[in-house]
Amino acid sequence: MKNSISEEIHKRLEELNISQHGIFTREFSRLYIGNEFCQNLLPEAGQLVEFIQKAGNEGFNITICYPYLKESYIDSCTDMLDKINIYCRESNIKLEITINDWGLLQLVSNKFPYLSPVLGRLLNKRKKDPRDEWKWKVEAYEDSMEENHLNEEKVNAFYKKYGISRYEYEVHNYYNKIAEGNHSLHFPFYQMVTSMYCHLFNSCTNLKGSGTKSIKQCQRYCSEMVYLYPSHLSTIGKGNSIFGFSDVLFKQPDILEKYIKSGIDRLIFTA
Amino acid sequence: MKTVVPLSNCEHYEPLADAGVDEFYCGVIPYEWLRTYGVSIPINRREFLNNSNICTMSSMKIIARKVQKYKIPVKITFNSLAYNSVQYRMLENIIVRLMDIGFNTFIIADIGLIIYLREKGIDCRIHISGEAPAVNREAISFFNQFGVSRYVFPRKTSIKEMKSCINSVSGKGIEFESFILNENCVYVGAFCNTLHCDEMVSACFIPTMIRKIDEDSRKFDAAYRFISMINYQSNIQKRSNEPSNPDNYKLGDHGCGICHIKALMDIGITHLKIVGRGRNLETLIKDVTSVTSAVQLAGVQENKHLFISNIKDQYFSNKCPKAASFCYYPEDNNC
Repeated sequence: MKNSISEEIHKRLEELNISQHGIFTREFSRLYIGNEFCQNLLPEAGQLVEFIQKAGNEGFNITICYPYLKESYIDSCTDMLDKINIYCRESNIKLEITINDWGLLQLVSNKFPYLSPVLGRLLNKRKKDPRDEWKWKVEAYEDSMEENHLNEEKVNAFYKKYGISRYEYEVHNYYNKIAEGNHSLHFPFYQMVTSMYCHLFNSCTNLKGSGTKSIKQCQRYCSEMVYLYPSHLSTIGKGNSIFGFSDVLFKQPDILEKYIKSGIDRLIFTA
Repeated sequence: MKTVVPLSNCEHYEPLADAGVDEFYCGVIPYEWLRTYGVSIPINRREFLNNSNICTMSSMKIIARKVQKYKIPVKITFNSLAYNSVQYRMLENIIVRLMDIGFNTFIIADIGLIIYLREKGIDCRIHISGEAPAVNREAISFFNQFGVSRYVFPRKTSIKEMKSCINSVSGKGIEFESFILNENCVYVGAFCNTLHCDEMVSACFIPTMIRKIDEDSRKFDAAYRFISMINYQSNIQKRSNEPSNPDNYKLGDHGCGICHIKALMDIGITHLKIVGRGRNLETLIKDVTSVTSAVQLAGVQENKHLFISNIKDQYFSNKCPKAASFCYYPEDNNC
């Protein structure tokens, strides 16, 4: 990357025609590097360290994003985390890492003291479907839908034992009742469903969309193609996942204010 | 190796027991949950009544008597991905009442519920649901702190990966269960936050088509030539949400791993799960008969490849009904 990271961010916001929106008045201060949904979209360990160095040199804080962890990826994951841990030890810093797998939490807490775990989106589970509002009588249960296991004290205490005090939330079609403490909020895309196989790869290589194998060499078809859904669903499929889109934070500043008062101290924008 | 089969109705117990079932699993929606939440807030992954869940405690008492008589145990699933604090208290009450009736094994996916039950000193047996999920040896090590007695491997876990996980805890008396028949979901249930109700189709059935992000891009042209064919195919091959029809029965039509039973047995899988709460009894009996027969063959057939060929010859006239589309273990296929 030849340009500075800030320049690239501003360029992207201009392309999307949202650079003037009030939500972007502050400068970006943190980068989420990696991918929370797909192993094949993770950079190589050496590349990741270079990204981290560049981001650090330009004054950004960093969160490493890691997805679920299949057994066949344990060794490569351990190798990557080891390289990052060494870099952190030598630089005398700690880096955040999103935890989207229970095994990854076990690994990080036991073996990598320079990585600070934050609870990732795949483990912050709740109903997230744009069609929820059409379910019969669902409005009677909206309060219940705002909460999940993170609103239980015993669970918070359990996570604290593993060094997790920050949780990653997403804006979606219902309000999230935020747990005690300071947490993060992703917008405008939210994860609806993820597979451990890639349908797009399967479709592009063998005419089948399901039941096929792990990818040996990912071609990054998802950089060029997406799954389109009926427009009223505000949904898009990318690679192995389906994402919903919610423009709530762009259009309802009172909701943003409510989140901030509830403990959200970090907004993460995905372009 | 034992077969685990869904029990959707207490009247199904005896016919399925006669067919050779070793263990049942069922969902329970007691009245207090229905009154408070209906099925809009699901108690398990069958987010509807439709003959998929047992809906009274009196039915559970009847089932408990059948368990005493026939000695085929029943475990109960509370495998919703997420509950909240109020629901943990309600579930504690439900689980304690079920334990008083005689059920002590529960399939759980939400770590909050596991933490809550153990903190409350509720010493039930816990099976980690495929919806949790535990897909690697470190996750198994993580969950072992809760005194888990069985792990259900989620769909999309290969036999090689399961073997590695099982070997990491060998000798600890832990059981392992894997999927064998029906409803091979295209995604992973553990990461599926969408609706599974009877009012609307599942997200994986919503019509979709692949499009280029930039229409002028020539990258992946060769692949993109197939796309119009994919888009047409995907719209005509959508599976139906309709209940299974015994007149159209085809073994493994929507998910099958039956020819891999020998391989699963060899790596240490102790239980095979047939999916299908709400499935027609007649078709379920056919599923059970086929799987138990295959398990018996696997017990005597030394050679894995010969086993595969015998199964395909016996059940599929030497070819799988839908090749790799709904195969549970495509990574281990040599077809």
